[in-house]
This record gives sequence, C-alpha cells and structure tokens, in this order.
Amino acid sequence: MQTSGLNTTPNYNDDVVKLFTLATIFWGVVGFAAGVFIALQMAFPDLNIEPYLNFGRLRPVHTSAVIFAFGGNALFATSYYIVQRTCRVRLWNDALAMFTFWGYNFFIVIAALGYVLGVTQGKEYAEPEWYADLWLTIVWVVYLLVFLMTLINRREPHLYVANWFFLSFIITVAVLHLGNNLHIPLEFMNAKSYPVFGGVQSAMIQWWYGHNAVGFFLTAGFLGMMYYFVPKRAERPVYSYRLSILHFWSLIFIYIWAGPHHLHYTSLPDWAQTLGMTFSVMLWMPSWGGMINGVMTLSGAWHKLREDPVLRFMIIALAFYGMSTFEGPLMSIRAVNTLSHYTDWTIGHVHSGALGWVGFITFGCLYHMVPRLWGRKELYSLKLVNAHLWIATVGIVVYIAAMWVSGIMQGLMWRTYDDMGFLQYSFVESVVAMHPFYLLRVLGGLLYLIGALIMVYNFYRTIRGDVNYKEFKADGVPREDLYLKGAAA
Amino acid sequence: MSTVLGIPFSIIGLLFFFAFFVLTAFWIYRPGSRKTYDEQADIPFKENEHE
Repeated sequence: MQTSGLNTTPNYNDDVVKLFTLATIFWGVVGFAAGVFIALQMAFPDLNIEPYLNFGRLRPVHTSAVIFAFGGNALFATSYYIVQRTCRVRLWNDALAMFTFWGYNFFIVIAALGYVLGVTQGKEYAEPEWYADLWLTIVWVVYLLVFLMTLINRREPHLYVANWFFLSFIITVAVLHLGNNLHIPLEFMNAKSYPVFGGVQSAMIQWWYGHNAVGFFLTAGFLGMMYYFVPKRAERPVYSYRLSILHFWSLIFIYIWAGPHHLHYTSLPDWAQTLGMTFSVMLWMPSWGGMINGVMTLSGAWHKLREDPVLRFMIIALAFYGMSTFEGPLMSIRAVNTLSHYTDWTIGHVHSGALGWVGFITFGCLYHMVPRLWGRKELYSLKLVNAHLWIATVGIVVYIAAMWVSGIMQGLMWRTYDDMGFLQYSFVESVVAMHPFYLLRVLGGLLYLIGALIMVYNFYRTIRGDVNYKEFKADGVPREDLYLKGAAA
Repeated sequence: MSTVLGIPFSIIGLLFFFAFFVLTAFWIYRPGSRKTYDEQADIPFKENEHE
C-alpha cells in the first residue's frame, strides 16, 4: 500500500478525506435545515404534514443528520487526515477506506428513509432498525481495521494523543452500538425488531448508550480533532502534553458511568441514580482539562485570535465546551434535575454543546483542511469566515438563552400548586407560554443555518481556486504575513 | 453486598479507579519524561518530514 519511498514526502490518501469532507458539508446543511423546520413545527403545529413529515418522524432525521451524518463524516474525514499526518504514513488500504465512505453514507440514507416511513426502534439516537444496525457494524469494523492498520504501519515511533482519542471513540462506539442494539427481528423480511432486555434494564442500557454517544462520539472524537488542529493552526505545540494524557484516561474511565443521570426519579434503583450523578459531577474535571489544554495552547500567542478567524472558531468552540460541561454536571444533580428534567432546558444544554462545541470545532477544522486538501494557498475569503463565525455565534446565544428561559419557566409552571394543593397550571398553559421562545429558537437556528450557507459558498469558491485578492491586500501589499504562513506546506 | 475477602465490590471499584488515576499521574510526571512528551507534542509539525 505504501507508494512513497523513504526519501520522499509521504504520499497521503486525501481522496477519501475529500469525499468525507464534502459529505460533512452536505449533511450539515441538511441537518441544520431539518432542525429549523422542526423548530417551526413546534411553533406552528399546522406544519406537521401527515404522515411522512410530522414532528415525530422528522425529529430523528434532524438528530441523526447532525450527529451521525454531519458529525460522523467529520470524524471520518479528520481521523483519516490526522492519522496519516501524525503517523507519517499513507492510510492503509485505499479500497477499504473508500468502502467506509460509501458504506457509512449508505447507512445514513437507509436510516433516514426508515424514519420518514415510520421504521424505528424507538430508542433515542439509536432509532435505526436491525438491518441498518447490522450494516453499520460491518462498516465500523472496517473503519477500525483501516485506522488500526495505519497506526501499525506508522513511521513515527509515538502515537500522537489525537489518535488515542480517535481510537477510544471508534472502539467504544462499537461496544455501545452492539450493546444497545441487541434486538431480535420479528422475521427475516420484516423491519420490526424487539429488544432482548425489557423494562428498566432496557432503559439503563439505552442511556448508557445515549450518554456515551455524547461522551465518545461527540466528545472524545472531537477532542481528537482539537488536539491536532488547534496546535496546527496556532503553530505551537499543545499547552501540556502531560495534561492531555491525564485527562484522556480520566475522561474515558468516568464518562462510561454517567448515563443513569438520564433516569433520575424513574424506577431505576436509587443507588444507580446516585452513581450516575456522582460520576457526572466528577466528569467536570477531565472535561475542563481538555478545554484548558486547548485554550492555553494560545498562551503567549493570543494575538493570533485577533488575526485568524479560523482559530477563533476553534477557541469559541472550546469556550462552549467548557460551558456545557459545567452545565451538564449541574443538571445531573438530582435536586436540579427535578426542575430541568423533561423541559427545554435540556434541549438548550444539548445545543450549546452541539452547535457551540461540536459544530464550531468542526467548522474550524474544515476551514483549515479544505484549502490544504484541494491544494489552495488559503480560503477564498477570511472575511466570510468571520461573518459565519459571528452570525452563528449570535444564533447559538439566542437559541440557548431562549431555551433556558423557556425551560425554567416550563419546569416552574409544572410544579406550582395553588392554596388548595391543586396544580396551578394545566399542561397546555405551559405550552402556550413557551410560544415566544419557540419563535426565538427558530431565529437562532436560522442564523446558524445562514452561517453554514456562507461557509458552503466560501468552500465552493475556494475549491474552484478563487482568492478574494482585495481582502488579502492592505495598501497594495498582500497580507501573506498574516494569513498565509505555513499554508503552502 | 458482594464481597471479595470481606471487602465490598464498591470499595474495590473505588480503590481501583483511584489507584489507576494516581499511578497515571505518577507515570506521566516520572523523572526524565519531559523530553519524551515535548517530542510527542511536536508530532503535528512533522507531517512532511522523511527519514
């Protein structure tokens, strides 16, 4: 497989990385648009177009499109990009790497088709039925194989920390996927299946899966991206390599126990709820270990933030990561959970992590990778990157602020009693009170979507080979000193 | 409560995790490790290097 000799620059397989990058951008727009549409359905229920496009069917289309299609393709793209460059060896087996691209995206299409047709396991974030699950298992094993074989073939004696994060993400997601999808199909030619476990055991396994999808898919994998692209963009090594090791092991050991906090005040035994809560609170420290390590990489070079909007994306991502990993442990405390559980506060929390951390770190990495993958010196326009950054940031702030107010109001209305001991408000009164916040949420999501469309235009022009010369010259002098350092490498 | 040699599982779990954390911390701060870690932190900047 190795086509480059010892004395030439490594010949990396970037074709497959390009495909995953394009798929990331495509599914991102699809997923954000689906999100805006279902947000509109919450505000205007008449938009529920029965039966294929009602909220219940489109909601998993949105969540799967943003998590598994946008996030998943981004993880494939960056892990393949990073593992080659940190091992200084070509990705193992071109054909199998290409299979992971078509196989993974085929999985997404059959899963999404199932949702609109009403085929679902009914498990949050694990909706695809057994036939799609089996197909994903094959694709994932090939992914593990391609990644591992590349690591084994490496010319760099050490494994860079980003690869540790990616490897833990690939292995743990495999375990979670198999564990939560232990289903028995009704019959061979039937999409319906039933879980092996029932009742509270099934719920516990579902949230062991669900929370570790957050922990390993949306955190460990994206931290792997952070550990490569932040140092690369800042042109300086990570703040503390020791901290990266310590928080890696702490993170993966602690995350796996946090799931029960999704089941406070259910029939799950109290000791299991307390265990989930305790580990969730402990999780605060390793999470902030990663956040501090990323942000402090800029220590002594803060001026780069002023000059480079791509780096700004990454650092704002880390700020949102820090914020949502503080909010999460707080919400997992049972006393807080009595107020927050089942309300919009949870939705706001998820989106500060998803839009702020996962989305922004991905945008930052894409803005760094795209010019390099297509052999361009820099992006078409850095001003458009900045426009994307601020429009999307305002969108997130509007979204999460609306959900905080709406969620806390909703929680308070549900538990207000009158003098006679009756509930003060009916359920529908709380729904009516939330309407203005639903509209604000649409606005926030719309801004985020507009930001992503600006990115699509910027990438289209970049890939075509255009450069906005006006922007790159001040007083007739190209601003290469600011932007183009190291870009030609 | 299940025990091993009279020690409850919960305590064994606690000790295992705590010991793992402490040993990891000691390991990464072992004498002479700074050079290794500094080298490893530089890996992202060697992508176009050849032997």
